[in-house]
Amino acid sequence: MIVYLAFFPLDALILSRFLVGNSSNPPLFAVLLAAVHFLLFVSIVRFYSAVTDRDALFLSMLSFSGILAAAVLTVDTTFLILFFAFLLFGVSAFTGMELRRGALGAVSQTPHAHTERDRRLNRALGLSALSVAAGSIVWVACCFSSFRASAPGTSAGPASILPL
Amino acid sequence: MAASSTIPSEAALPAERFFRTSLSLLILTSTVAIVSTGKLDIVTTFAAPLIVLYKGFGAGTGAQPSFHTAPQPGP
Repeated sequence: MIVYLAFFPLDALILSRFLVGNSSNPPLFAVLLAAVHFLLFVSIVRFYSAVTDRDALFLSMLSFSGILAAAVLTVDTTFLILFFAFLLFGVSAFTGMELRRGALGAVSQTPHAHTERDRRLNRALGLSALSVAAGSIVWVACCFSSFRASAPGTSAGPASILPL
Repeated sequence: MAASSTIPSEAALPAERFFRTSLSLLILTSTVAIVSTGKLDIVTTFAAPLIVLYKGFGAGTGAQPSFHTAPQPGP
């Protein structure tokens, strides 16, 4: 990672300049692309070396930074779909993290004999995370449609059929 | 009695696989979101998701050691 810090100026000044194209501000866009390269590199290195829960938290923050970088780089429906998927997996990951943290040091009568129970727990967790994420997606869609409908100077469009 | 009924630190915590899969998919989603913008070079576009997928698949099959929490501060 330290070595990459030496590579970063090279990427920002030379390599990313080839990808800039006809941008309005090529030096700034090249630095942004170099920062995205650095973010991807750090995410992958930390993903391969993650051991503790603190690493998992750091990985979650890095992935959120990735979503922010993608939001800067594009305005697209694909990003919306990926953002909803990110919400789903974020809820799942933090639910699992809290469950593991709560189970640390807890008392259990028969350890190593919960395979069927663990399977049912995993299934219930997946269902609950899916429900929460689906609810948040519907909530965001409703808020967005109400904002579009109430914003002055914009046409309501098809989103106005939602009951808000 | 109490010592025998406590989960040892080496035992797999509940929802371990669920947690690892969710975290892997979280990182994969973030990586795909960056890559799908189309602003990156061709090597990064293909290599980054594949590297994350390789690690995530290994974690999903249980080939990787599980995460462990940091030791709690004592009283």
